[in-house]
Amino acid sequence: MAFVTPFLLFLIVFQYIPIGMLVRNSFFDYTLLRPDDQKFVGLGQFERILADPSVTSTFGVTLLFALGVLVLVVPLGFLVAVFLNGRFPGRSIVRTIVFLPVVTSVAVTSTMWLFMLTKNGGLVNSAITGLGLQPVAFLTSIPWALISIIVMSAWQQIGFAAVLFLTGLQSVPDDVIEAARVDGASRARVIFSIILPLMSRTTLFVVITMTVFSLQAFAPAFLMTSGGPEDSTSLVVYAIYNAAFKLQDPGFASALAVAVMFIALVLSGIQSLFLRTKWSY
Amino acid sequence: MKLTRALAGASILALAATLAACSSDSGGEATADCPDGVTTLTLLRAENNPPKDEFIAQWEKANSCYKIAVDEVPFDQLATKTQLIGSEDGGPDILEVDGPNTQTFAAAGLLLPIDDYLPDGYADEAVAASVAELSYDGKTYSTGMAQTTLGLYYNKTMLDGLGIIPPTTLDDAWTWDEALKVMQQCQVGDAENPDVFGLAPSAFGNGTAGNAYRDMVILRSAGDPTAAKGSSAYNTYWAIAPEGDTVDGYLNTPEAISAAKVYQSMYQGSTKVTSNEGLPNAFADGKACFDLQTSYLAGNLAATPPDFEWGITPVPYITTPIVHTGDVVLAVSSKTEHPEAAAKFAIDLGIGEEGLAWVASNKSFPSITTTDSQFDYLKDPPLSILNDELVEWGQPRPPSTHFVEYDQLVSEGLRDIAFGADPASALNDTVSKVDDALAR
Repeated sequence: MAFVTPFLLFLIVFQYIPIGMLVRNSFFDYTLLRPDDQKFVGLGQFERILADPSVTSTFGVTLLFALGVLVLVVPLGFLVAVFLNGRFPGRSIVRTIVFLPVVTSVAVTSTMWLFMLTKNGGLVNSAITGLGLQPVAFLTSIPWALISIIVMSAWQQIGFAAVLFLTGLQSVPDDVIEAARVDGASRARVIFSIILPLMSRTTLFVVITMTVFSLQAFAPAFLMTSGGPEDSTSLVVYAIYNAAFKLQDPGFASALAVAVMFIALVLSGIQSLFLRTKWSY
Repeated sequence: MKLTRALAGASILALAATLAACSSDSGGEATADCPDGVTTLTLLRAENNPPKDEFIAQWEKANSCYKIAVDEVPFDQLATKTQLIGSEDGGPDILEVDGPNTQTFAAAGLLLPIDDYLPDGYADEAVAASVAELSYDGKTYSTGMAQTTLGLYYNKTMLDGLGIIPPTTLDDAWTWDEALKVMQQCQVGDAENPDVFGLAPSAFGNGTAGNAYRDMVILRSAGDPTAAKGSSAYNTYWAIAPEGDTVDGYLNTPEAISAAKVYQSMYQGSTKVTSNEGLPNAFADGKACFDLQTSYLAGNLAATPPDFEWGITPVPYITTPIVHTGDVVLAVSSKTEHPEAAAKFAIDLGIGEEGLAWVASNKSFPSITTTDSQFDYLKDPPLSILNDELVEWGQPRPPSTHFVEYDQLVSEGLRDIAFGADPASALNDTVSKVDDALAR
């Protein structure tokens, strides 16, 4: 108990009490300028969420973003893990390089990608115009802006997914794989019929982690696109930030945060249901 | 059990130490010169903004019983940080505030009026736009420090090559139609990817189009303050109801929508002369013929001359010339325990000796009218053009106790228009959002 107490204290002070305050604040209407002048509105803020089409759009954008990140990160993360699980010279260095974006500040990576993708002299557009083509407004046109922040976020998270998959790959029993090979299974067959099913727990963990990460994403919208153009990259946490700190509506922002928490729990539950493991080893 | 207690005690001590570190230092040992001891006043300042340390040190030397402790935040976080002070115990004694937010924070009770501390004759000397922006409910909350305004900077070397001579007086100022034609003429290369832009991309924020300070003047210039009160043209110029309770019929008038189409034409289609994405230092690097920029650019260009001749011409207009004014200002926090000293600092660094010395050293514009010889640079072109604009055309951004929200939502609306959204729909959408915010 003695060892756990500090962590429990931190958990209570920095997690559970703020969540409790968040839920409480979602039932009030007030501004940060006059925090004591609060008006109890019951479920009024949640009714605003349901009635406001821009909020529906924001949640839609966020779910598309999450889907895009998942579609890129899960298969690519797995393929990278398979590659990293092999034997080749400099494997440790390659593993470090793959994981490097994960430990780099998202503010740094967002700014780096901003410089790469900008239309005026960005690295990518310089290459495109060098080929004699017209530059692409990656960050200021629909749907390129959303695609761009999906690709950036996926690039940053693939390393994390790969490490998780790598751990899963290394825990698959060798004798099962050897038995399959003895029975004449090809490399692809071994991956899809033996390894992938046995790694369903890892896959579930990656999918849930990436979904929650996507729902919490803020920096790409804040630093790269400011939620634009026309709110096409207005991720929900960016909308929460705007509501609380720019539009003086922290009660509404709290309700949005509660809604995100609820959606994350529901999505995680659904994913657990569909991806639950059928095998133990 | 002992270990548990020890850990719990350590946690409490750590928490107490953290809280103590957040408190401001006040008081000190009494001396002959300072019978109440040396008091430390805390100043919340935006990074890279005045008052500069050199002038703070001058003030401390002249007021030896006070020390100034500076707490800095990035400019983009200044308003947010100030808002949060409302929900904190204590906080800085002196707050740096972006001028148009003054009324918002004054109405919320975060600022103290400074009328009792103002020098005699202040009302006669103050620049009208400063008074309009920095007063609320008949009380003055700041004197301002420097004033800023917009100018249309041009690359004289490029324009000479084309035989174009921009206007040098306010009376001869271009309309936007005239200015855009010149910008197109001056632009070099494919409109989608020019080698030289007709107009430099915005240098505000991260360079994305749609900054209310810079771009709203285009819409407001389609209005007419001499038209019948309450008419569409009159309302367009003011951009918000006099009571500050609505923008419906002010931001979405036919004149504003028509002006928004002109604004959009700068970014879209065959008439485009600029980019809705930033390009740092485009003007100074010779990658743009013109730049619609604040008066600070003049100081920067003078300090680091580019390899071409440059000049300033008055900001173009559609119907009525207008430029926005305003800059960061110093105000006194309502939570200070030293209002008199904090007010003295805010006023001295604004329109006092230290403040005016900084303004002169930076070749900026004082927020009071003065004949002091250190400001002679305002009499000669190109800075005289900016000074004339400030005095004759200057208007604060639409005064409102909800300016933080107004600024955010209007900037987003302008950005969407620059990105290609239908101007009428975008302005109506903006009106709906701003009115919701104003109603709260």
